[in-house]
Amino acid sequence: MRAWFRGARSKKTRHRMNEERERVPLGELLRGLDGKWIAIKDHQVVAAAETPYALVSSLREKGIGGAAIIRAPAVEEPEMVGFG
Amino acid sequence: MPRAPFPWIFPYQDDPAVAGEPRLGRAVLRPLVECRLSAREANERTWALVDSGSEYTLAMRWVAQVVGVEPDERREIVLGIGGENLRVRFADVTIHLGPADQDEVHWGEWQAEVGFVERWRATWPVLLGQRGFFDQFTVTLNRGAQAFALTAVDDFDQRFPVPLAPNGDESKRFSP
Repeated sequence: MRAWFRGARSKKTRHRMNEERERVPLGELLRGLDGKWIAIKDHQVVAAAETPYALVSSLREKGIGGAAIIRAPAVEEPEMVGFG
Repeated sequence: MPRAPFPWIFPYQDDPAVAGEPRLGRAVLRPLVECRLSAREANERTWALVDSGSEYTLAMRWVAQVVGVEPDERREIVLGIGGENLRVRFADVTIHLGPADQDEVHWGEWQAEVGFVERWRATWPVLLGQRGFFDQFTVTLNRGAQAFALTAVDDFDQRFPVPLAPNGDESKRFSP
């Protein structure tokens, strides 16, 4: 465990984590899609819909696998604490 | 297929509610992870919030319908969520989760009792709580690294070999 922790602090690992953070942040990906259900795959929005059911149907119709679903907050929604 | 070796490390994600804008001069970051729930059918992946403050693993009602499970009305409790008292009904599902850079065949999967929440409007469809998630792994969160790591559930005892109960009372030691 300590060896892993030392490795995590190593320059090489930190660089890899910095590469991770160079991807488009989640908040920016969802910008302009307020209130919609979004499917994200490989750091890109691949589908959007008004309801989660419509989104799942769309993904299955298009044969898109491996996308992860999230809801873009509406404009008036505040930052949540915990579960909201 | 063998499960991917630990540690599984996940970077924090920017909170979509603030669209990447800093709050009080600092980024708002969340411990989020992609996971999949399945029962009779498999769900698409969803983003899930890792929440040590929740006793239960919870999911939105639509997830139950997509995976083909009917939450049990005999396993119902009321939880205070977002200032409201919401009904939560539980069902047994399989949770799939693993490193983002690994094919899902190398993910872990386990049975869990998940509470499905009516009328819940949140950003993340799933919340990973003490039961069904924190009882499966040792979860290490680090704000400085902007990441969290999952390791074996008994890793905690190896890292901190201090008995929590006097006289080695093993009955107080939790095991999943």
